[in-house]
Formats: sequence, structure tokens, C-alpha cells
Amino acid sequence: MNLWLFILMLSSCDIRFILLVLFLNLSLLLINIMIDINFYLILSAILFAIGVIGVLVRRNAIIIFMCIELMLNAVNISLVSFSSFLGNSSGQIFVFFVMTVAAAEAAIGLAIVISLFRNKETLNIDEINILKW
Amino acid sequence: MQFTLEFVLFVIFGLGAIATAVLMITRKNPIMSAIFLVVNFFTVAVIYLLLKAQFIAIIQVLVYMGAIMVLFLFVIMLLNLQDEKKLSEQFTYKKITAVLLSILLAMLLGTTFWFGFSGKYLRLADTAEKLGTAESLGKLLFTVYSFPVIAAGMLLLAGIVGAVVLAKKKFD
Repeated sequence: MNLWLFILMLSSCDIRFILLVLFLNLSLLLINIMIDINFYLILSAILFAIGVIGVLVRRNAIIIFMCIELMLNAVNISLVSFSSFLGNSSGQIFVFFVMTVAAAEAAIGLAIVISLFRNKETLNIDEINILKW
Repeated sequence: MQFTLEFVLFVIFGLGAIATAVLMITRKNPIMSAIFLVVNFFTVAVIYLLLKAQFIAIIQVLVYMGAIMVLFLFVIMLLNLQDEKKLSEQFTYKKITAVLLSILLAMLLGTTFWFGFSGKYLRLADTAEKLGTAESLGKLLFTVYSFPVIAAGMLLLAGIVGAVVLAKKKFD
């Protein structure tokens, strides 16, 4: 069927018809896609890289903390996807503990941010360089 | 096999997660980026639901969107960052290199995942629906993983004490 449509497309000069055939072929392609584990893993890779960009580029300490939460979430997506595709619940248990550690880390980190702001009146991490050698 | 609702939902919420993450790291105002991070956590919770992990999705909404983000917003409001010029963000060669290297990292991870797992796990496991419930995870947490649960509790206690000590005004 696709071959016939392709020949028709080549033989006709109507742009609307060509677009229609292209759309049909594209939708046929999309119909054959099913979500396997790759899609979730690549989504988690992209989110992780966005978090890395945020940590490296932004200078605001609070936004850096938020980007760390984003990276933890990206790793959680890949753990959950492995867990449900392989039928093993250890991944979801790991996600539970990662969330526990993330909660503790956020509380401690924000306390550090508050005490830093109290001492230096800034959140720019370029100006917070006491420990820099 | 079919053009399923699952695929449509995955595309909508996956692209939403990426878009809100990009918006989060590009906003100048920290409150706006916190709000976009909340939206991002919500889309990730929907993706957990697509993976049949109900308990984790609920915990995501409760812990991340409920507790952690309130903490972030509270601290942002507390600090009253009115002077945005102090946090001047300019483009330098360092930052451009960082962005390029991060894109390289994403491509590296993506090609590894694509060629390592393509066609191996095509559908969710048959037991996935039962694995994600609070019942099965709770059974595991209170039997096999009982020691890690106690350790996590100790960690949270240490976190509470540490946060109180760090945020205290003066050491007496």
C-alpha cells in the first residue's frame, strides 16, 4: 500500500496530496512505536543532564540545591523503570531510600544556606570561597 | 503494537518534564524556578504512575511536592533576595564549556541506553502492577529491609538535629 501511495505521490503534483501521504506515512510510523524501557531511560538521561547544566552554570546556591533534587529525580525514574520492566521490586525500595536521603539533605542544605546568608549576606557561590585553596 | 493512551501520556508528560526542567534552570527569580520544579515533580509523578509504581508516585507528591518544596519556598521567602544584581549571571567560556560537556554526557548516556537496551524489555513485567502497591512494598520494607528502614530513621533524626543546630542564631 505504501509503495502505491509513494508512486501516486511522485506522479501527482498536488502539494496537498503529497502532504497528506507524508502525514499518513508518519502516523503509520508512530503507530508502530511502543514504549519500551529505552524511552524512560533516555528521559532520565536528559533530565540528569539538565540538572548537571544547572549545577555548573547557575551561581545561586538555592537553585543549585534544586538542580541536585532534579538529578536525584532523574535517577529515580531510571530505577523505577528498571524495577517495573524487570519485575523486581528492589528498585522501588531504593527509590524510597533515595527520597529519605533527599529529604534529610534538603533540610541540612537549607540550614547551611540560612547560616551562610546570615554570615555573608550573599548566596552567590563565587563569593563564598573561604574553603577555596 | 497500538497507538495507545500510554504512549500519548508518556509523550505529553515526558516533554513537559523536560520543558519545565529547562524553564527551571533558566529563570532569574528563584521563586519562579521553585514553582517550575514543583510542576516538574508532578510530571515525574505521572511518569511513575505510567510505570505502575503507585506508592512511589504518591510518596513523590507527598514528600517532594509537599514537604521539600515548601521548605525551599520558605527559605527563599525568608532570605528576601531583593538584590538580583548581586547574583549576576554572565556568559563565560567556562559556562559554555559546561553546557557542551553536559550535552555530551546526555548523548553518551542516551546512546548507551539506546544500544544497550533496545528490544530487550518491550513491555512492563506482568507482576509490575502488584509490585508497586503499598502492600507489597510495605511487606518488603518491614521484613527484608527492616534494618535500612531503621538506619533511614536515624539519618532523618540526625538531619533534624543538624538542621536545628546549623540554623540556630548563636552557639551558647
